[in-house]
Amino acid sequence: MSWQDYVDNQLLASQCVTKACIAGHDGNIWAQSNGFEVTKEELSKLISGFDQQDLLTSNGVTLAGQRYIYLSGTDRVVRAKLGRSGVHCMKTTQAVIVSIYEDPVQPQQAASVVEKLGDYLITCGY
Amino acid sequence: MSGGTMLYGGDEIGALVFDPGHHSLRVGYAQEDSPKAEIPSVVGIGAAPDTNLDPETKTDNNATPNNSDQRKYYVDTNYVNVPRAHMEVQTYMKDGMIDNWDLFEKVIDYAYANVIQSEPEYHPVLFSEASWNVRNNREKLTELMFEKYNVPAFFLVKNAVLAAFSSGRATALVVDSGATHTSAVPVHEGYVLSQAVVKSPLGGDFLSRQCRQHLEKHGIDLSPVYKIASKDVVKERDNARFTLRKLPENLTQSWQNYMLQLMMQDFQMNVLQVLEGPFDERVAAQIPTVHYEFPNGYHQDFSSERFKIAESLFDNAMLGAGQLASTSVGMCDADVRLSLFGSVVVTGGNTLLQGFPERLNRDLQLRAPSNTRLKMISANGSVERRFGAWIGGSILASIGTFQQMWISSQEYEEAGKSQVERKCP
Repeated sequence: MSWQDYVDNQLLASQCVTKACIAGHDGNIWAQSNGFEVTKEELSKLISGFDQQDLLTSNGVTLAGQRYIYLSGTDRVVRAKLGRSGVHCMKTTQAVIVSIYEDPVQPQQAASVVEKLGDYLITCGY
Repeated sequence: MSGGTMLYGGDEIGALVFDPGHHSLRVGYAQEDSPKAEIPSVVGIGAAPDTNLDPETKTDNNATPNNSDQRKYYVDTNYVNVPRAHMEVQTYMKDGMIDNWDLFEKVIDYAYANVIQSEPEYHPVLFSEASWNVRNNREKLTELMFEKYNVPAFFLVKNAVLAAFSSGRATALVVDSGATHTSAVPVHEGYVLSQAVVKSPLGGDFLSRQCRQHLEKHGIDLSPVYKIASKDVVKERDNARFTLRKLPENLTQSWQNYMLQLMMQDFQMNVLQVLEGPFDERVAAQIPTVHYEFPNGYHQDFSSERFKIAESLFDNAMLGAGQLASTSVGMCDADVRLSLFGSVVVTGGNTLLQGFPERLNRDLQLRAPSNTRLKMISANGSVERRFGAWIGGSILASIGTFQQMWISSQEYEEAGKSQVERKCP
């Protein structure tokens, strides 16, 4: 499966994610969903935030120009929210899966989908 | 979902809400407005049975060695507060989280047998947890509930979120002052901003210790009720005259300390008060005194010392309640700060201290940026304050949209205990 397939057929098709993107640890975008204009700089900031939470706590998470408020995270997962929509990101061995969900999807549903895909990628070595 | 035992639909949910804390475990049914039971967070552990077997009884050649499972456990006030030889009193909580799982299991067994009086497998269970709970504990609790008690569904929510819900808010700064901690936790849209959680060890138990020190320093005899057989009426500040009750020998130190602590809590509830401003001897002396009689008959009026003791919750430069709250807000994203100041929820049994919300209001006002609109929500009834998190859990477990969020036993079987990390942020 190509990376674009992962985005369209795994993430978006679940109906729990409205926009998504898969990128490498350097910020290079491997695939992104239609209309999701996230930039390499935003992704780089997000990725460094996995290890250094302070970068995200004060400035939030900015994706596609939209600033989300950072909620919580570990070195694998970052969660952010703005009103009824939110962000759930997971870091795998070589990549980062970024997903945006909106009302009426619950954060847990998006989390389940993203993390299941993430765990699968980790077993594949990505 | 194809799980057979899950019941959906408004009236048939039958979910249970557990809210463990350092002072007590609150347990009851969802949709009700207060818990069915409040079980103190201590367990009385009876003496290990004697290893000398009666020589008359026939024993196997390979008799099993006595292990600690043979000891008797005493749970809840009716059993713990009885003077018993060799009974140690131990708490299963530490630092806001469940620490001693064996004792905790005994309390849950008791809760199901005596309070709920029903099998665990018929009721979905909602647990509250500390806002700083660690992954290990969460997974352990999930595993315990699914494996041992076979609950059909389970969910874990941070108690700050529940306290916010019980005041009808999804975004709030929750100031929770309980037995062992006072904490300031910002909640945004139902999620705890965990990097901004601030806590201090100054809580109800700290005040009890201060009271005890103060009274002992003034030479007041502190004999709890269990020691008193009868007492005489004495004049104010006269030495008490009472007769000691005949008690079993070998009462453990831990039990005696526990009973003394209960007595201090009664004193603390009735006598202590917080001034509206920083402690000032003259202002305190002008407020009418409070009269208190101890179990042994000694009685006196208390004036300014009752403000002085309570002041220790607020005057500490780093750990004072007002400071905690403002530090916490300062660590949050700038966009949310205004909404946090606009809904400060005060919860926890220790906040029932007279004058606590007013003083917190004043302290926060001083520390907040000059033109912020500060609004504090502190429920008036004692039930709403002490059981804030439990009530929030009761509300949450009854909402229709929540029913799809439970972790069902099927999900647990498929994904294992790490599912709790995914589904319960």
